Amino acid sequence: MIEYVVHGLLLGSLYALTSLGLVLLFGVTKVINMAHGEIYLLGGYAAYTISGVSSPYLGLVTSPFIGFLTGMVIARSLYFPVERLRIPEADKHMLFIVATFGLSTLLQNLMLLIWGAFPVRAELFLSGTVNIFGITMYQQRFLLVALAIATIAVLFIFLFRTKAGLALRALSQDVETTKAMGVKTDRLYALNCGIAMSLAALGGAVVSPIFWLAPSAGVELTGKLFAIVILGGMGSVWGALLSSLILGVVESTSVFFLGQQWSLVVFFLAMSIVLLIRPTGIFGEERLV
Amino acid sequence: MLEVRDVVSGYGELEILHGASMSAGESVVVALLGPNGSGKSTLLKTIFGFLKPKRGRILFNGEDITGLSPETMLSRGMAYVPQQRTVFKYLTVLDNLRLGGYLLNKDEFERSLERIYAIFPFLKERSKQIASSLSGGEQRMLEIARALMMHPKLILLDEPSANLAPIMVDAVFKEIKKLASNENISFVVVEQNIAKAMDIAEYVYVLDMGRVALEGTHDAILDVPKMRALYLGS
Repeated sequence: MIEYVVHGLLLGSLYALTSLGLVLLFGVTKVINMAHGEIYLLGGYAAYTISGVSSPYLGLVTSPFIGFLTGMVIARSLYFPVERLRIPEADKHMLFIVATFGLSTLLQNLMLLIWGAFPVRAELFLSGTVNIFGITMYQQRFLLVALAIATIAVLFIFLFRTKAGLALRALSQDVETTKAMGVKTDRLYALNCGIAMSLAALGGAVVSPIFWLAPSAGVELTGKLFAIVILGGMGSVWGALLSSLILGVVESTSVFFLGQQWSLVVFFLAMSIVLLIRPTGIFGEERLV
Repeated sequence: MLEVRDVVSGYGELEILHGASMSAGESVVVALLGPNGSGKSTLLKTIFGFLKPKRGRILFNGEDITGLSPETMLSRGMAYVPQQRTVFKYLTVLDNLRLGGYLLNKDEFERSLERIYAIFPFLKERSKQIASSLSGGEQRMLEIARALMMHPKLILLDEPSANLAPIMVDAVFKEIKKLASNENISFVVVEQNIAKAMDIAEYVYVLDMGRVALEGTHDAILDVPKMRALYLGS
């Protein structure tokens, strides 16, 4: 049982790492990114390929970087053109959904072309175990958790202790006023998009030796991530963090009690029950604080 | 200090200002009045660089600033307080002031903050609190304080009385008047609350259909029968 809880926390830290990117995107730009799962896969595949020809650590470093660049390119080629259209805000949100859905399909097929439909997995590069508080854990999984915690800590320091982070939180509340403060918002939007995608790509990279990668696997993950973000309260980083861990543990322990085939059912059931009680999610409002 | 000459501006194809001119001297309060849609807010946004004028010139301290960006306006000594409540209500009072001084370096920021705390002591006491915990009037003061962080010589205020209880309106307007004389700051104030605006303004412009329909000193405007009838009620 305790092992399932630990596995749940491991899953939860992966969800947190990946869903925080979605929160940044929604919180700051109100973009619902349907291609988040594919960015995660892209990071995973990149790490898989690099670790095959070079060092797996190089893959871990390069993947988030590739994610960051992809994010910057998406911001420039997809976000800005739509944002500048003279149409109502609600129509823009719809356009973003359609555009990122298209991006999701595009990336899926691109990955299919490069890596094929057959699931792949990177080599385990840490084979030993570690013992923490009496619980034995594979080093590879421990690395995932440690990296996720460290990255999330850095993200929170960035958001809550730096000037750019403050500007992002301001931007998530009021665009016009943030501009009136002299903040160069376009740069921040691009940076935000880059960070969001690099988090997703890193998520894919750290699990590439643990979970199987397949071009079609992103869709299910995107669905789960949305459940997490909605449960946390759209746009709340603390909410996403908490609901990631809760749903990770719920999903994992449900395997122990009910069996693997029930884990998705329990996952979404847990989300529905919480939303019935608190329709705005755990933390409520659309803001990055 | 500020001079606006024949400015034509609007949103995209939609032209709202059809050639408006106005000016403001040092440490004065200038009121921009007029019915809804007459172009008051558009004029403020155009002066501050949110909207690029199609024609016309805007001079600030003798320099041509037509079409420059809001950041440039801020660093040249102009600030803008948008319409409605615009404090970042989920951020602390201090974080709001930090954003006001976003373009300052650390030393400049600390000095500016001390000055603001001297003018508004309640902000220092409540610096760690979330801005939404302030009352409506206090939030307005925070907005003005936030604009003061950059040491502006001119502040463009869009409807400071909006959504405020009458007693709060009095307090905010008193503060504006005080800042103008004590801190040597000019204000261009857009207002719907004509009576209150007339109380503190030395010079008044009345906009109508995107043009200045009427202008004059406080006393001269009061002598115009139409103004008295329209806005001062009897």
